[in-house]
Amino acid sequence: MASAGSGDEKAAAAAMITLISSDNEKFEVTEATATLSQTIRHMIEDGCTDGGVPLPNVTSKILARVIEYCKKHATAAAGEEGSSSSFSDAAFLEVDRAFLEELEEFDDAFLEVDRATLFDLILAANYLDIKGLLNLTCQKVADSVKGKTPEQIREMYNIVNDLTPEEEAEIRRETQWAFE
Amino acid sequence: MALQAAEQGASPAVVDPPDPPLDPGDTDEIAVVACPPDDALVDIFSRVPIKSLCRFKCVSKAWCGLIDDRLHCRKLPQTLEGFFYFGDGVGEGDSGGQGDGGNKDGKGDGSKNLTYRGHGQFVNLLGRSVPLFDRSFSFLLEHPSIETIRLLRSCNGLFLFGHRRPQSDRYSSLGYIVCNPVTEQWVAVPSSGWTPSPPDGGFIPMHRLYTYLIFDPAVSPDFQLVQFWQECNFLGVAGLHTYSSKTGVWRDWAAEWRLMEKGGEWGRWGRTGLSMSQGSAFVNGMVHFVVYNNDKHHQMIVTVDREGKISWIIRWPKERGTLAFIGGSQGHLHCMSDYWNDDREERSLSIWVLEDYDTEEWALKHTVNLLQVFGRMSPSQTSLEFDLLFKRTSSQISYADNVAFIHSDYDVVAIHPDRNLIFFVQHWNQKLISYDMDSKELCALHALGHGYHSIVPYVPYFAESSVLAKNGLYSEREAYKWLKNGMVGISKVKTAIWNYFTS
Repeated sequence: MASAGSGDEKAAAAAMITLISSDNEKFEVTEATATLSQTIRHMIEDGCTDGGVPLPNVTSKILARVIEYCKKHATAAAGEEGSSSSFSDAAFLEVDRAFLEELEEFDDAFLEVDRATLFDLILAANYLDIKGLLNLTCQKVADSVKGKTPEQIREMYNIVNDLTPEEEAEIRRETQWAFE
Repeated sequence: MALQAAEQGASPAVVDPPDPPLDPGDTDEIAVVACPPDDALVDIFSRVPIKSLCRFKCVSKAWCGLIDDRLHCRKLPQTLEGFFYFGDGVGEGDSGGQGDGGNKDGKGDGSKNLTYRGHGQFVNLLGRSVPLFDRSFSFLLEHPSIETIRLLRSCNGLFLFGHRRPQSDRYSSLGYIVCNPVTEQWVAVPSSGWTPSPPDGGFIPMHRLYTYLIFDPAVSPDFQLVQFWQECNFLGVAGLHTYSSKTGVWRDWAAEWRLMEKGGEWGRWGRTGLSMSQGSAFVNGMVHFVVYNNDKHHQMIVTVDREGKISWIIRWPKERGTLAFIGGSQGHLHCMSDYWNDDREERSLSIWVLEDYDTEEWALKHTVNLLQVFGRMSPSQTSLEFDLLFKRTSSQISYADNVAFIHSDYDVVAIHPDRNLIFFVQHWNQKLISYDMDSKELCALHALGHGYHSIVPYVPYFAESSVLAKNGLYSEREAYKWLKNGMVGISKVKTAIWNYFTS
């Protein structure tokens, strides 16, 4: 669904999309990779991707990571489609399983980042509307906070406690069981 | 947001967490941590257990506000909010959970009502200042197709009401209403077709219906009803109907039931009676009931899945005392047994947790001397009243013995779904009290008043449901199906459609 403006000979190459980070770095990606983002998918559908897609909320450092994720997962999707037609069921299942394992390993390694990057990834996934990445990153944060006390959370995320001592005491009284 | 980025290495508030590092990010304390948008934060909150969520309210005003926000509630885990009950009547004596077709001497005045008498009351445990829902259920009662409704059960945020004609009925002749009081969505379920016989001149009716609601939004948006038909004269379960909001029809399990004679699945259940006073538990996707086997004289726990199939039959060892209550908490079945120790001359309550269905392995979680809980306790297990009652109506003394002991002093009404907390009602002063198994603390919560009945625990469910409709309009699919099956007249469907377009 390339925009009407691009020429015929460009149509074949139109599967490439240019993404521009907040610090003006350009990234060329395939349409299959870019459309993992619902936000970009809609822009492509509306034909607003000529001259690149500016992403003022995403730095080049984070965009590179996001593209890395999208590339891997786009290949995964394409790989599944391709293999289903050319393998027998058993072989397909085998390939499928191996592929899923590989993808899981990739995801685990992908999440080995510092907390600031993780939050930036969440912001980017939220802005670009990439469901898989948002799930992955949110789950990672949830796993890391769930056993923590309010004090630990505040320390982890530099949150200033703006509750008055009375308010905090009141909340603690109501939720006392959760602290036992 | 109260999340503030620390200045590069300058903030004295930034110190290393006392705990071992959570993730590689812990070494990178001085980095500027941006605050995730509320949506993402809610997404993160939806993935933590309710206990963590409650703790997080203490982090900051913003976090507290986000967790308490009604808009976000639909995504976040919820816990026991309180109890809904009807009171202010002259004792219907229904506290232990009679069948739908109770023998109550209704004094309906012909007007629309929530029940024969009494008003809906809510005991708020969390101290929320804004009422969660309209306790008068006017959104239901103002609807032209609704007659009198009577609260039967609750399950994960939905209420099951029996629906009947104002004056004449003694059971849910018009079927049932399933509603979510928070979203004010509801749907009418037709009667299964069973009509209990009127009492045979005595106090106890010959038949009773017991209907249970199954709803677990984590598993399916659909709800199910499981309905038992119990014959009182021979004290046996004699039939089963199930209903699913997916199919929109009742299914009669009579064919499977007949297998009972031939020792089939239901036959394993034997000649038994459902003992409703011990409650029922919906946990692990199954409804758990207590049944009493009249031939072998012991109590059993039977589980029925959402399709109406018996999945487990677990024998309750007599030595552990008599089952007083079963409930689900923290993902496990909890059974409470009332135990009289002859040697020590004390009566205690033990809380057992079912660890494994296959091996029937139980773990003793807690034991408490009932005298300590209540400050008073009748010495005998047998209540003369009940004994006499059952002797009069039945020769099944063993069954009478079984049910007689409880309810002389107290009812267990619930176990907290996420905490080690039990809720009792003391019979002598109608007070709702809680007992904390961890701290061993007692807390008087509320005076229910004389004649309270239909007390149900309430865990809110804030999301709109696809199987309940605003104004109770049957979905097109359902309406068609009902018409096809002759379950409702065309006039009723027309009324529903008319109401939908005119409201």
